[in-house]
Amino acid sequence: MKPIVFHVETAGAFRPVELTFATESEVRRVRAWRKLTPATDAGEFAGLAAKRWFYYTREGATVASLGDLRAAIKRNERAELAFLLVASAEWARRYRFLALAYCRRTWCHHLVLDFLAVRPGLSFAKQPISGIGSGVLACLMDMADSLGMETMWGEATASSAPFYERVLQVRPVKDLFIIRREAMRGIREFYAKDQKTRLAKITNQKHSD
Amino acid sequence: MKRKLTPQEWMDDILEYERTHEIAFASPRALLEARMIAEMDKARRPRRRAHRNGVSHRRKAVAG
Repeated sequence: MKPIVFHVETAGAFRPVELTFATESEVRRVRAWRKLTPATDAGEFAGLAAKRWFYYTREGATVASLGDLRAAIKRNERAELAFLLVASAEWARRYRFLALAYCRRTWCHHLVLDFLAVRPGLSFAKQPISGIGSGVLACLMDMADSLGMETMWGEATASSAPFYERVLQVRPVKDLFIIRREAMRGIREFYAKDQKTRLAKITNQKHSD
Repeated sequence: MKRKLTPQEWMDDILEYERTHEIAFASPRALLEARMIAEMDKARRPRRRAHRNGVSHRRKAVAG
């Protein structure tokens, strides 16, 4: 299955990050984040998201690929299905996984984002890597659109609301954020335009060096 | 009325946020459910080593 790709800017270059559906062995690796020191929310959430994934897998309610998801929906259009997406990059192999997103497809074909975590302290060539959280979110919107989903939503908290406010350009975000199809398209267009501009800027810089 | 940001201003703002804040978000309901699952697992897990062969493990004395 082809991974979903987005790009992040780090150490003066635009580098690809792949987002894929996690299989059991990958979920086990993500779970190991809980042992990272110092303890972080990302570590705790990774452990709990993995726990939840294993529980739902025992119930037969998880999928490990986009094809599986489409097939499960075809079998039962009201199926509630969960999946864990993991972000990884060849150029940052020492981390194995850079981020995770635990999502659910609801009975009425909406996408719910339950956990979103970026591995803390990521760096490449001694430079921070940022843009992974927003990249994952943009890919989720792409995926929701490709599946014909009308809505993506999630619960926000005091710590996540400022992030969603920035991405959605909606203030204030309170307990819930709801992204309808039109808004998803707008955000994805913005995201694509920005990626194009940044890529062109970096390419021009390289040519002039 | 607030001016609409350009795609680059929008992303600069997000990147600055991501640089300065941990991105680790959980829906409160999902978190509660996951914690309950974790507790259930813990309760279900057999305590294998506690009384193996009827011999209990001696604990090291901790210097007070």
